[in-house]
Amino acid sequence: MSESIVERQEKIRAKFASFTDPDDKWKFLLDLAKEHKGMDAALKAEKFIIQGCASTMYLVPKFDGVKIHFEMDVEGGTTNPLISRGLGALALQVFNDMTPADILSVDPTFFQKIGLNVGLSPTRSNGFASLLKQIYLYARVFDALSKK
Amino acid sequence: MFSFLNGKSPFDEAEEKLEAGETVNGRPKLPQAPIMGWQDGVFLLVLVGLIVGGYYYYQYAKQNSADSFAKCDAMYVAAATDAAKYVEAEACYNETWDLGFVSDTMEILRQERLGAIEDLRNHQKDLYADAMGAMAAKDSVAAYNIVNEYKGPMLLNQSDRKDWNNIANSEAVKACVAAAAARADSIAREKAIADSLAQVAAELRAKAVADSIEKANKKLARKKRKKAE
Repeated sequence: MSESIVERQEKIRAKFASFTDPDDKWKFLLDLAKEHKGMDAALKAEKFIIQGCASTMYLVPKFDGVKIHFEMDVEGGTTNPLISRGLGALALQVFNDMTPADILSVDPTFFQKIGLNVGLSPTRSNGFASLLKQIYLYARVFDALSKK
Repeated sequence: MFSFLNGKSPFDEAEEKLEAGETVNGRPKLPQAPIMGWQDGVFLLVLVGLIVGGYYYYQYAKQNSADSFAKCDAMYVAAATDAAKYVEAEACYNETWDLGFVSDTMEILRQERLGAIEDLRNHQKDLYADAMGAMAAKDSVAAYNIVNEYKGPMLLNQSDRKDWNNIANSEAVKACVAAAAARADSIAREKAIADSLAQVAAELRAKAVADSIEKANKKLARKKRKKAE
């Protein structure tokens, strides 16, 4: 049986609670970024770019009528925006392959409450907020579509 | 395939020697094969070379990364007192993307610092947008003030930087701002003079009142004295 969205949040909350060194959080995000597979270049259309991110972040949703699957990738030109990619991967750990109702049930301040924002630069913080906003927006749209 | 047998099985050789009558204590004399052939020696040498070379290359890459990051760190630290150094530090960190070795600590530092510089850039971009908004609203003095009050590093792209510098160095706006400042100064001076005159007048008025009270009291006293007499 697959994990519920609440269980996923609990897992992440526990992970963050286990951090003892301030660098642990960044290492965790870097690892997530390195493990993240990215997406097919053909999917990288302008309409999927998250507005408000310093780097170019793509978020592509795919709704099968029940669950939403997200593809995410970050491009930074000559740089490698690992923290941004890690943040995106972290968001997907909670929201990927969940129903719109599940997604909309998540407290929007969850990540703030577990301390993700502490030490995060304002630009990345705003970018992450934009990503969450976009995920909720897709969930709302697909929720409305599935109820039609 | 590598072999230590020199192309012949020792059993075959032993059999041949037994047939030829070469025996030791009645047993066939065992062949004196070399420990390894020259091909095996070459292979081992190449293997050892690769291991040693790899180790030294790894050490070199590690040292090279440490040196590069130390250089960038120094620039970033210097930027705290000289904001222009942020651009150099950013360029320096961006050069480290090609390095062969980057530890987690280095990566965190690089991401953190590039993020901080990006924040500064976004702050300046916001100010730039405000200044351009003021220009669009034909309030060039407000735009001039926004641009000139900014004391941070110049992190805008070429085109925005040109607009920014045009606003910052506009002689017409500079003259306008100077005239406005002079006007404000003269208004302030006039106000100060008026305030001090008003104060003098108030003091004189208070003195006159005090004098008249004193005079009235003296008159009253004289009258009382006369009555008593």
